[in-house]
Amino acid sequence: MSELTTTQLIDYINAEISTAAEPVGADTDLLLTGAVDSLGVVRITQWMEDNLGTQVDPLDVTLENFQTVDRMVAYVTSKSA
Amino acid sequence: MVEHQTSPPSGTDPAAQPVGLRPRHQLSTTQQLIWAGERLYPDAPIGNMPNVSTFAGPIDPDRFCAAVTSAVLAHEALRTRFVDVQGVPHPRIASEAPSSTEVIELAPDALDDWLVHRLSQPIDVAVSPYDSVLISSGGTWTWLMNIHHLVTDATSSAIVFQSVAEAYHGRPVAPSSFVDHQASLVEKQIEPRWQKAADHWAAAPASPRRPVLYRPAAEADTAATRAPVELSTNDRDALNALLAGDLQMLSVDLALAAFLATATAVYRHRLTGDLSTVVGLPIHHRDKTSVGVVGPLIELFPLELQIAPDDTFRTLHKRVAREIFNVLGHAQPGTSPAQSFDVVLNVSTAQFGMFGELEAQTRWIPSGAVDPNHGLRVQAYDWDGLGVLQLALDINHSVATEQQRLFAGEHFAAIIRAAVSSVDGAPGIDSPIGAVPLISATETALLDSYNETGSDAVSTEAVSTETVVASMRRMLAGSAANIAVVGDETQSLSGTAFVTRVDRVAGYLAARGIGAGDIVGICMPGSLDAVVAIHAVLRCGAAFTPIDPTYPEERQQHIRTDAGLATVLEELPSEAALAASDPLPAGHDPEDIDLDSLAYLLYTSGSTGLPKGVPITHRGLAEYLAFAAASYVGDDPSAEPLVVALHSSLSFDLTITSLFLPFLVGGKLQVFAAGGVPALSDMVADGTTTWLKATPSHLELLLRLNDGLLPLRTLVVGGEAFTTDLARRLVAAFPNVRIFNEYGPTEAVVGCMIHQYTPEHDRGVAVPIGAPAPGVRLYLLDDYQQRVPVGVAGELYIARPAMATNYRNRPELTAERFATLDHLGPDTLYRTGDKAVLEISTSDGAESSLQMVYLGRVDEQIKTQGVRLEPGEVEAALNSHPSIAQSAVRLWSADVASEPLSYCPKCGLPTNVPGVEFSDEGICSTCEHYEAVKDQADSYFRTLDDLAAELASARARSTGDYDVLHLLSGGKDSTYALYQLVAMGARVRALTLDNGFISDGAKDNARRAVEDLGVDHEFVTTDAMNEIFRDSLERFSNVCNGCYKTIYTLSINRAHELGIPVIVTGLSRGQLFETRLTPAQFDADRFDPEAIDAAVLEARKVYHRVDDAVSRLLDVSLFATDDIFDEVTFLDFYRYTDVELEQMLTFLDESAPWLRPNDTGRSTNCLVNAAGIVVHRMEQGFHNYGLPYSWDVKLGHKTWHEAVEELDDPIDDAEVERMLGEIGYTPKPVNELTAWYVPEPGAPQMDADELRRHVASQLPAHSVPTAFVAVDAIPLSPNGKVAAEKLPAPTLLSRLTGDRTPPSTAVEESLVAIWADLLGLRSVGIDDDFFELGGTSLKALEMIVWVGDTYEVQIPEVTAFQHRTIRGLATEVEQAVIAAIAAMTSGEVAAELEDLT
Repeated sequence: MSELTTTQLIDYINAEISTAAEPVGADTDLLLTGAVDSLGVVRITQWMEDNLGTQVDPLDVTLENFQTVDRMVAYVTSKSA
Repeated sequence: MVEHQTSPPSGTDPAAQPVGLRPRHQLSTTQQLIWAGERLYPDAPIGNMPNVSTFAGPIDPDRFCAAVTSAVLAHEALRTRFVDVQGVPHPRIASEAPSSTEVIELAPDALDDWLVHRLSQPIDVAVSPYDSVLISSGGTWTWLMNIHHLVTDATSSAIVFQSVAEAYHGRPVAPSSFVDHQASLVEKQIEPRWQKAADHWAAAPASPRRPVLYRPAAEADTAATRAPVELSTNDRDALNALLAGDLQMLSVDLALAAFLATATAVYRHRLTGDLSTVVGLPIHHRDKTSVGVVGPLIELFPLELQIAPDDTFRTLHKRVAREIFNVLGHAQPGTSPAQSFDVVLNVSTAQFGMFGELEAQTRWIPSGAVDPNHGLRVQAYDWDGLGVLQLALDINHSVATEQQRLFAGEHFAAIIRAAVSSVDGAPGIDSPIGAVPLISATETALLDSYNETGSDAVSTEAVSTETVVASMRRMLAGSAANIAVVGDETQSLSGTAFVTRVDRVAGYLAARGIGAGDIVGICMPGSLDAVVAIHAVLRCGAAFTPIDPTYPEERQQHIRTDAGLATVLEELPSEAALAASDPLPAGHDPEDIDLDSLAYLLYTSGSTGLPKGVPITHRGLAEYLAFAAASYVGDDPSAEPLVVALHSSLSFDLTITSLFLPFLVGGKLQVFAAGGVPALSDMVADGTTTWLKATPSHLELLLRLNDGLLPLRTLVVGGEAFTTDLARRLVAAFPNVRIFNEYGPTEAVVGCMIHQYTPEHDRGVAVPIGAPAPGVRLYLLDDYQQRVPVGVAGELYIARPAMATNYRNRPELTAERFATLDHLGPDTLYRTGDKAVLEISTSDGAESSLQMVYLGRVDEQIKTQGVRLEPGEVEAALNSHPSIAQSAVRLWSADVASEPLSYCPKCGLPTNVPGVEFSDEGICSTCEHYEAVKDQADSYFRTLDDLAAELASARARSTGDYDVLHLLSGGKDSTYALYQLVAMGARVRALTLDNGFISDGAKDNARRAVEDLGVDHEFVTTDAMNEIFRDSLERFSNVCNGCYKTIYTLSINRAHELGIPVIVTGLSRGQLFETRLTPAQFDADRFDPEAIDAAVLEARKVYHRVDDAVSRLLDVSLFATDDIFDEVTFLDFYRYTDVELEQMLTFLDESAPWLRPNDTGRSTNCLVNAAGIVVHRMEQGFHNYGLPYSWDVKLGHKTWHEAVEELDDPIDDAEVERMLGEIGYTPKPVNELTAWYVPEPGAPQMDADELRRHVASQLPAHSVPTAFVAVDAIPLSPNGKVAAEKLPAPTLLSRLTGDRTPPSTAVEESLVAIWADLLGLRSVGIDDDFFELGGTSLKALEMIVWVGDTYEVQIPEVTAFQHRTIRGLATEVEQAVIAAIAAMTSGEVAAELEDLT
């Protein structure tokens, strides 16, 4: 599941969220590069809720959990475990 | 997140604002809001968004102008003009640039002034949405680009800047279209997420609030000043460390936004005390497709912040961060609520940076104007991208004075510093939000100067070195008529005679061992003797304690005990006793009295409980009197002898001045012994008083009594808030008078602050209380005991050298009110509980000074929805209505008011039951009515023979096995009735409602009785019971109404099914009186039992057809036609027999298996009753059984003590909570912002709506009272202050609103007056339903009698139920009148006409 999730997330971010010129990858630092801003992350959390069924606690929305797609997937996995 | 946005003018209907996307060429929500502001304030530059860029190298002006034009051509928004066609904006997109760049040259020192002027010019968006000017000054090039907010936001402005740079350097500019961007958003609206967000914001309560910061905005203003918030490098580093550490969030910007939102909430809370703040948070929607779009992409979303007084920065930040996520989660484009914000927090991420290869610095110069709804904008930006945060506050002039705006940046910086820096290793982020001192050293010095400069004029004379006894002795020696008593028996004494008399009484006291260290009670009315007694007590070295003989016995007794009095003088010793007494022995010279010994111990009321003794020394008294003499007499230019009136209670500290002052300045004291209004009236009649000290309430009375002849020259006002309105009227009534407003609590010795009223300068609502007396220091502190900034309201703390420092025998209260605070020095401070504000006054011409203005009591301050409001402000707004003479505004709480004051001594009816009057002896009007009618009422009652006849008739009508259906509750009345019915041979079926809460004891009683008698019986119930209870609680705040209606509905259905023609109730005689027999019926001498029965039947039809839970959830199809009311009739058993309680209990005891239930309250069978009682008390303010029990007492079915004790029975709160949980009802404690007002004599009637509109035109919504109660007078305490506890409770009816159709005929008009009077309403519309207005069937009967009396016609009672509006009733009345006239003989008509003329 996590590979599928990774691909889905990357596609979604590139298509809808990222403002970077280059496409983002699984380990791109989305926040430091400015590819995704705060509102973008909130959209991602909503996408997770709608498409993955992950209930995201606002207090979980940290740099640690959302800095890269890999970390997001790890977070989603930990929530569904 | 970025920049600012204009919000709608308050009053704009949000529903009228289109939400979401509009077809091409219509404005977005943001644009519409900006447009609305533009239309309202066309002359203010509130839409200007100017940037000023200075270049570090040369610019080719032609190339530059062409580059600007290229950028304008690339970005469609910049080519959009807005043409106003009858208020509707028409965007027009041009293909050419609407304006070109102007190139000018300016002297370097002229640049800034020029910019400020140019920026303050509103952009004419009909011509061009921007103003571009390239300026050459002293070899430096500067570009002003001022773009209207209709087409830009900060990020867009940065895009424009970059586009111009690209074009200037010959690179292509990426085009953008705001209209296309808008259109692309339409697709998003079909997403469920979008709809959810739109619903979320649509449900958010719009809370248009008047801006408030340092002060509430008096009126809308667009002028604003930017106050920079200066942070040191250390502070910035600490902040950055925190944002990257403890307060880290997804991004630095977000962390900064959350931190600044926290700081903003603390800042606003510390200035206003408000516990809730709504911050407008601008959010933009730039995604991949819109990253380069120029246009106003931002929207303002509400960030609602709740503050707890014990928050630390960290605890508050946590909530703020969570709430920000909540906002972001719903921030879909086009969903923002069209709401106004008084605070906006703008954390801008826009960066202008380099101009291509050229270094540039871009400044944001504010236009000096903001949306008038915005009180405060917190601006955080870093436009040069250098990582140095710029922080500034845009402060609307309406919410801060110039002085306050100067200090504002420092206040905000102080909060940030406290949060980011550590003190002794403790991180600031964990410090309480209340611990921050807001004010800087400079501001502290300014505040301190107020304490130093106060009362310069009198300070030299203020030092007193002798007691008042010694001073008086000097002054009085050899003086002539200095004291007179005016009253029934005119008496006057010369100064010498007065001294002699005082000495003799002092000798008498000394001979009885009274002297230094003793306290003597003076329990005498205001009289010459009392004055002599007080001075004699002081003369012999003792202290006095006045005890007002009109006080309640209990209060007097408390004072006597608490004060430890050596003796109490209730009158002067007789002449004989005095003659027999030795003169004062040696060692009793006035000079021997220790200045630091006690002079008096005065008892003052606390807001709660017992009066408390305030000890004042001779030093305190002498210093006050020296101040008073210098202030009120010292420079009186007239130099006429003072004639001072003593009219107020000796127990009132205000009276101290009059009691001593005249003797110290060679004046004359007049004693008006009558006290209160009679004293003032005597004073006017006497006509010689020149000097008067009184409360504003006294002065209101004086103005009414004034005959224009009183030669008043000095008025000293004290004791309560003094308005300029009253001051103006006083000046008009007494043209030569000087008016002083003196402030001072008893604890700080009579008066410690003074202000002389001048009509030219004192234009606010309140007359200032001015400047401190010599030696007095005054501090205004907030809830955290920190000094408040200049001009911010705070609680007044007083330090005065010789003031009281304790309450006698009250260590806890002493600790609460007297304290030292480290940051204010070593002196004891008295905490007054008064709210005040220090205002800058310019009354001394150019030299400004600070003066104190009293705002009210802290404990009278009202909080609604977490927002503070001042009752005084609301009162002032009400008083400005031409028909209102006086008003008082308080938060009325049913819960607090639910403690009954006392009970009717005859029937035990509590005095807080509304609609009942009590005589001077305390007897209630229901007792009086009952006494008057009970004999006459006999004809309503029937005999057992009649009952037998009714039962026989029932037998005849019965179509089944039973004659009657008996409603058996299991209580004593219905059980007894059942036995009697069976004994009389009736075929009885019994029915008991099991509402889920009937006590097991009662159920067992019912079961045992029917088994004992062999009667068929059933328990009926319904699943809808809880919903019916809930509905009943909603409508009536009790459970019984719903339960009764369920019983009647179910039993009628059962009777119909079983062919039973009669239902028997066990209503007691008391209940019959309470619900059927109106006093008016008897007054009118028209008592007719049959009319009552007919009316009751009609009432029953109405009752069963009301739309409520019962009619919705139970089968009520039977009630659709009138047939059922003929088929099944009701019979009240106790109408046919009266049984003594004793007889009933004996019968049940001996002849029936009936046991008193032991699992409920004393006289109820139902457990849920307790819940009803609690809810009723909480919501209506009185016990719902007060009236029923009083009827039980009147009719001998309960003793007075049983009734009163039962009303007072403890209730198991936990059990009530559980039951209410089961029912699903949450009580709504009534906290009603209530206005009590005295109408001007002869003023037309007003209704609540009119008054509400009047207040709403001046104050924000949360300050508008919900209830208005007209009273004859505002009740006053003995000291002349408003006695809030004596204000009558607002009835449900005084809260009714709605548009009402006014009467159009004379009959309708008179009916309106009758209804309004009867229902306690200010107004009634002719289409209002009598019963929906709160009318009961009893009131309806009364009303019909009244109407009949008025027109001298007989109107059947049932009319009230058939014609429930005035419109319908008026027609009936007119017809009855016509019929009556037609029936008259011509002679009678002539006589009638004679009468009329």
